[in-house]
Amino acid sequence: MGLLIKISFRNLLRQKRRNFFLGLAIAIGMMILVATSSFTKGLTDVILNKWLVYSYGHVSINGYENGYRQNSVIRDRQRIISLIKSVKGVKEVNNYLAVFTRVVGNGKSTMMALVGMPDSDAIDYLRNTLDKGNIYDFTNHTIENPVVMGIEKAKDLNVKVGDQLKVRLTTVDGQVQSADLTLVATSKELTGGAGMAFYTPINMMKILRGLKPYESGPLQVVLNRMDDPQAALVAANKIHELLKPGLAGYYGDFYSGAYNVKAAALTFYTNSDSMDLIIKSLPVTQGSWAMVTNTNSAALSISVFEKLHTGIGAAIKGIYQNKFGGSTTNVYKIGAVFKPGKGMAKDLVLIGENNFYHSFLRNLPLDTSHVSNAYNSSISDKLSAVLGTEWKLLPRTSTTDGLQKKIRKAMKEEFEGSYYDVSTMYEAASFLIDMQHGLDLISLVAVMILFFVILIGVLNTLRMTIRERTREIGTIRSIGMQKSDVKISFILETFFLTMIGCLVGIIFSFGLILLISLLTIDTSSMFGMLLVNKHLNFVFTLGKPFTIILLLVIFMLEYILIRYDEHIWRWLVNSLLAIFVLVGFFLSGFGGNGILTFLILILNMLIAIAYFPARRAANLAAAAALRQYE
Amino acid sequence: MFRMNTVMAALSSLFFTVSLWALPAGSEILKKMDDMQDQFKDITCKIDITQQRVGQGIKEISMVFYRKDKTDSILIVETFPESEKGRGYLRVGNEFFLYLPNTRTFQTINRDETIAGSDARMGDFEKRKYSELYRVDTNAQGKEMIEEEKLGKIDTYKVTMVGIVNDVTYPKQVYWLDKNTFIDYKVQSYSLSGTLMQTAYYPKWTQIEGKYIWVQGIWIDEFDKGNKSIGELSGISLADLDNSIFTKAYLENLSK
Repeated sequence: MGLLIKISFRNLLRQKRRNFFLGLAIAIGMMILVATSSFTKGLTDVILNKWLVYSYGHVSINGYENGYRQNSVIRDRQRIISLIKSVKGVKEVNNYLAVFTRVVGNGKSTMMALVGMPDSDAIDYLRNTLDKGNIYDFTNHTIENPVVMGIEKAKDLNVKVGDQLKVRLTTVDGQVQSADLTLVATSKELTGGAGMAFYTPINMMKILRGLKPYESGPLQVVLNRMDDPQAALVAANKIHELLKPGLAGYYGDFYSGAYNVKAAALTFYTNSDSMDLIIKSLPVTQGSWAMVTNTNSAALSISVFEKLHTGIGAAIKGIYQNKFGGSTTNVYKIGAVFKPGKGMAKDLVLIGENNFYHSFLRNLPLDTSHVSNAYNSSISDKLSAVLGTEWKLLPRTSTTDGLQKKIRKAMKEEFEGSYYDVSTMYEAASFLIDMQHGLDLISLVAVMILFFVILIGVLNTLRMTIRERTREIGTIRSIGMQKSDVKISFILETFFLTMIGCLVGIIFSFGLILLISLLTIDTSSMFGMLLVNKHLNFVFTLGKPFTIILLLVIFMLEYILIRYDEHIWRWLVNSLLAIFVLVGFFLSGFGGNGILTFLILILNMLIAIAYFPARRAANLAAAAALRQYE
Repeated sequence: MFRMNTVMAALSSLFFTVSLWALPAGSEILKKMDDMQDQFKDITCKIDITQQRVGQGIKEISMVFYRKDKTDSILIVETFPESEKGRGYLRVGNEFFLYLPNTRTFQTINRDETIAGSDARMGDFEKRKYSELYRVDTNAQGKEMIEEEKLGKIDTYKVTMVGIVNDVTYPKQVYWLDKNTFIDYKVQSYSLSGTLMQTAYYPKWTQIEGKYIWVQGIWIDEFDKGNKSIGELSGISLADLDNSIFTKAYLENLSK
């Protein structure tokens, strides 16, 4: 093998000019491939790790109530965040709050999106983009309702730093809210489409939106830095599993005059199917289930009814401790007395969803263990489908269309509680992901066309070389060199030429990227959103280890096939080589491309191409080759 | 600005006699407002709105409004401007649709969708009882905030109401109700932070089948000064409406 390597190198150097230009073509091809790949990866990085993280999060959790899709609210923020954080790969969970507002400046008004921003983000952001004002006025909480907006919008509204603005917005419950804001800084970067947004501290935003400290708007999950959007799907599915709701209800004291009893209160759905099942499964001894669905009514189990010494139509009070302080008192009219079903606690109050969720969602109970024990579905799950849960979890979907459909369907239902939905950037911003895939594929195909041209050059060069060296082949074959060694020596020659060309190309690409990165692009167009600090973003990767290993295996198989081809049918060798090249191409294109995967792919392709003239040279008869004259 | 709850309440006003010398209780006022709202079952009318916005000039919108309480259905069809002619908003129960005549397509919308570029939203059409949404506010002495006040030449009760649930559009409203008829001549609406956001006037009324219906409404934007809308009702009919009006097919046929 050492001798073959030596011969191959010597032959490479014999035709310096021809091999120099061929190597240069390979180097330029590799340079373009690495540069475009790094550029599209840079775009992907901006889209996945900047845009999407900021706008949607990799995964987003929404809680929709009252049929209002715009007013997403998570009532027990910390509980949901704890569940999310137990999922592997979660870096952070952010509270996202934004709302469209009418903003009134000095004699001018416009519609803008008011966005809540955490203090730390504000400092980082404003440090780089501040136009006028003091960044610490945004965070030191001495100025009431501070806001930052872009210079263009400030001009449109005829306001300058220190001026007052008025905003009209709606709370998460749909109430009209208004506030006076103070413009504390203007930003140079908030221009064009991005200028539609203006920022206020997130805690201020929570107050304006009518959220309590323990509540939040949609939760945005940021995963560890990723170059594979699929990771979001895995995380979303895991979070979805963890968000399975328990029974909704509370455990407290029920009073009727001088009597009281401790009991669990559960809720039930009041649609016609659920009511049919309730009527069949829980026979009433007094009153009727229809009466229970009247405003502020409830059904008592026989045991509770007897302990309260009360009557149908009488009022009772239910009091429970809230999770976040204080207590809640509800007054109900007794609509029915029922016999608890299998698996149900003896002391039980059932409340229709129309009389339950509004208060429950805003006053979550402290004690949930008694609630979960009030109905044991392992004894009988007959009523599982009609007893109300803390929230309804919408099924996972994978497309924007699927997301829209399921939410539309849910909003039509007459459910008084909250719908929780887990979506990924695939659903929220599928167009961005599609754009990124498209860019990746276009750049790979374009560069592969370039390489196809180079391949033809390599093929032609080898054919010329073999023709020139025919007598030399006859000589070395005459002195005992094996056919396969002749073949391998030509293939090694191509291998070294390609390897050197590719390595030089990679070095060239670093230089090219460094040069392009030095360019400062000052634009206010949408294109500016793809820049990082006004520079194009390039990301180098070697490729996924698994893809690299697969490509190396293909490379080894290709070598074995070429080395021992005389024992295999020619058509099979040709077909297998074509398959190896195609598999290699798809692996590089779709299996996580990078510098190493491209290098191995190009080596695979060029060796496969070089094989055919090399085989022809090896099969020359020694005597015939010696007789050859140019 | 153009709140349909208020519109419907006003549309359903009836004549009520009360004693002139005693202030009615808050619960009584709320009950009367609820009763008035319940009077209407079906209604059809043409609504012309003139919208004036600072820097945007005057915009005129016309539409036909149909409502059927029994099926909780509403249909609004724009008739002017020409560019919007045939655009329809259909509500049947909990389903909301927007019809675009240019493309002859229906879009599913939600309660937040605004109507014809106004501030009215689909959700505003939901019929909910005043007594379940509001109570009459009390002053420091615990007395209900009901006063007698002259509104121009009209004797009215000025009633301050506050929301008892979180999901009312305006958490506080002040009504000027005619002392004899209980029709509302003026309504002021306040935001959660207590800022006056809108003043509505209903200066002109008519009587159809013994029911009072306003024929002119003026909504003044107190938040963004200089903006106002004037609405005029005409062609009012309280005849029963056929269920076939509240269908997609009906909307499609209108623009053929």
